[in-house]
Amino acid sequence: MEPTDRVDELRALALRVERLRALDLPTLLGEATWVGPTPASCADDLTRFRRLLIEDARRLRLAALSLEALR
Amino acid sequence: MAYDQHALESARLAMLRARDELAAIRPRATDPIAHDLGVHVAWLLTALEQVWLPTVTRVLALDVLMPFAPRPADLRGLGTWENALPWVMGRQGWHVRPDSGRPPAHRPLTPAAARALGARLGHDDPHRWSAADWARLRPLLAEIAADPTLAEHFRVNLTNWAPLLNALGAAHVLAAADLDDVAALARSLGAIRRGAFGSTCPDVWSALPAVELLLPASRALLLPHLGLDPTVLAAEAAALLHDHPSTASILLPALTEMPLAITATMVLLVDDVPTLYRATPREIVDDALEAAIDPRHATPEQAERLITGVGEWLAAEGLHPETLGALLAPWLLAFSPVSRRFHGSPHELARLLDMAMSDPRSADRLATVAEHLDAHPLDGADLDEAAALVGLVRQLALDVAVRGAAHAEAAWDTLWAVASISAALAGFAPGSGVAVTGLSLVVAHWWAPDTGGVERSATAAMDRTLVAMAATALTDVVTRWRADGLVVPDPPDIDDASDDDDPAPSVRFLREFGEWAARLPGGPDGPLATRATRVVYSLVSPASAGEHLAEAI
Repeated sequence: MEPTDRVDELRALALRVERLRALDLPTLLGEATWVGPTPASCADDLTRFRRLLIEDARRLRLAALSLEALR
Repeated sequence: MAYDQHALESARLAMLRARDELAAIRPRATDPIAHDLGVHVAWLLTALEQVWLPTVTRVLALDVLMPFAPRPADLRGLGTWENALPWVMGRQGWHVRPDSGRPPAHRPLTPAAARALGARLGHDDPHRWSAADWARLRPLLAEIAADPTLAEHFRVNLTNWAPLLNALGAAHVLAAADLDDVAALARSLGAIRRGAFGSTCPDVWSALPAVELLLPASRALLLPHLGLDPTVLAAEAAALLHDHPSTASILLPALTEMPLAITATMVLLVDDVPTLYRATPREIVDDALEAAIDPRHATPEQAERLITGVGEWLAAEGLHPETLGALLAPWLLAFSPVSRRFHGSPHELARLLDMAMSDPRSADRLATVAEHLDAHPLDGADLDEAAALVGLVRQLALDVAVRGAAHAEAAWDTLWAVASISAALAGFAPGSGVAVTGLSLVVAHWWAPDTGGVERSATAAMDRTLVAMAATALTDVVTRWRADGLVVPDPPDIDDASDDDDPAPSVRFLREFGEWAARLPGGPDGPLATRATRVVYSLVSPASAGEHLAEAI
């Protein structure tokens, strides 16, 4: 794969992650929808995954930037 | 748990779409840089497919199989504070189902949960709560109290405070809850109330809703934690303690931690102290009094009011001699005949001091005066007060020694302690406590007083003690001068004054001192000699030396 293609791929992947509906799930399954011990566990779990995915997208963008700088 | 059926159905559909998207993105994460992304996507897919989608689906399926109608079994478990939010939402029309899940550990409270807890506590009958209920409530209220946002949400929904606060007061009085829990809950509830006022709460009526409906114990629990101005707090506390002395065991320990408030409160309660002693464990009143007269916070006027008011009552009743000594010790310099700190009659003050020195237990506490040096704003002018006090205490100690040997030793300790202040002040230096400690060692090793009961031996012992102190203080001064670069001859040695056969060592010491002072730079009338003379005469004066000599003949 050409470096330019790889940079574009990484950026496209980051954008796709940032637009995932899964990132909205903590809100959709928050206190406005259900409350209690199990809902709290669910919200915590989904919030944790949301943070991981957002961090992954950020790293992809940083990696793309680094590759671009090396060209 | 409680849920909004329509919102949960919408969320389930969103979960299905999210699952499909995640499944589609996973094959694209093939770049090594995207390795972590692939792992996280796989984890989330697993969580959705195997845990949360089935859970949500099962909950919604119950609505189909078993149309919702609240039953006692559904509400089981909602009595816990952690489930306040489902409890409240259930009352607002959400569907409620038993939830076997456990709340996540250390999950911060949300504003909605704080609001729900406020509603829950306002609705319940807290008099039925057990000690375990109070204990579980403690961390939740502490978390709310520490967060202004949560506190605000909590306050919005807790509109009826009186039942809660009265139940807390009753739990304390009846020991129906752990007292540590009660105290912590009172602190938290006070902080939550205080949050409504920004800095200082103007008055107790604003701070405590329906204060007139509160039990005395409840008011006592909350008063110290409402952020009241110390003067307002003291007035409220004094009024409460006057009307309900039994609340002292609740109120006084908390006020003791608040220096300005405890002083003002105890001054207002001087006439009620006998009642407080009868209604409360003695240690609590003792601690409050000692905190109230702390020279770091109490003015001389406040201290005099407390010392004369309470001290004279204690002395007259022959009660709690240790307390009497502890009250006088931090303000002992104010008992000096030349002191202007107190405005009472010097004769009355001397009489009170005499009573304190007459009992070995109070005299023991008086002798701790040196411990208060660092807290007391001493300066060079204090030397005159200390010198006059040495003379007064010297005579009182002598009287005690003559009256009865049994108490003489403690009275001697007081004399030493007072004389140590005078000696320590000789350097006019901060940290004089060090000098006092050193002097105490010197005196303790050099001479033990003869408490045989005859005036002559007591006088001689005192003379030797004061000469030793004067010699040590003089050495201290010379050391400082030399450290400053001055060249001065060696002062009269302490060993020269320790001749046991000499009936009036002060006479010889003063003679040697006079010869030494004349050799100082500037001569006998120079500034160094003047300074040294002031130091020595504060402990040993020619007049007292002559008196000793006459008594020794």
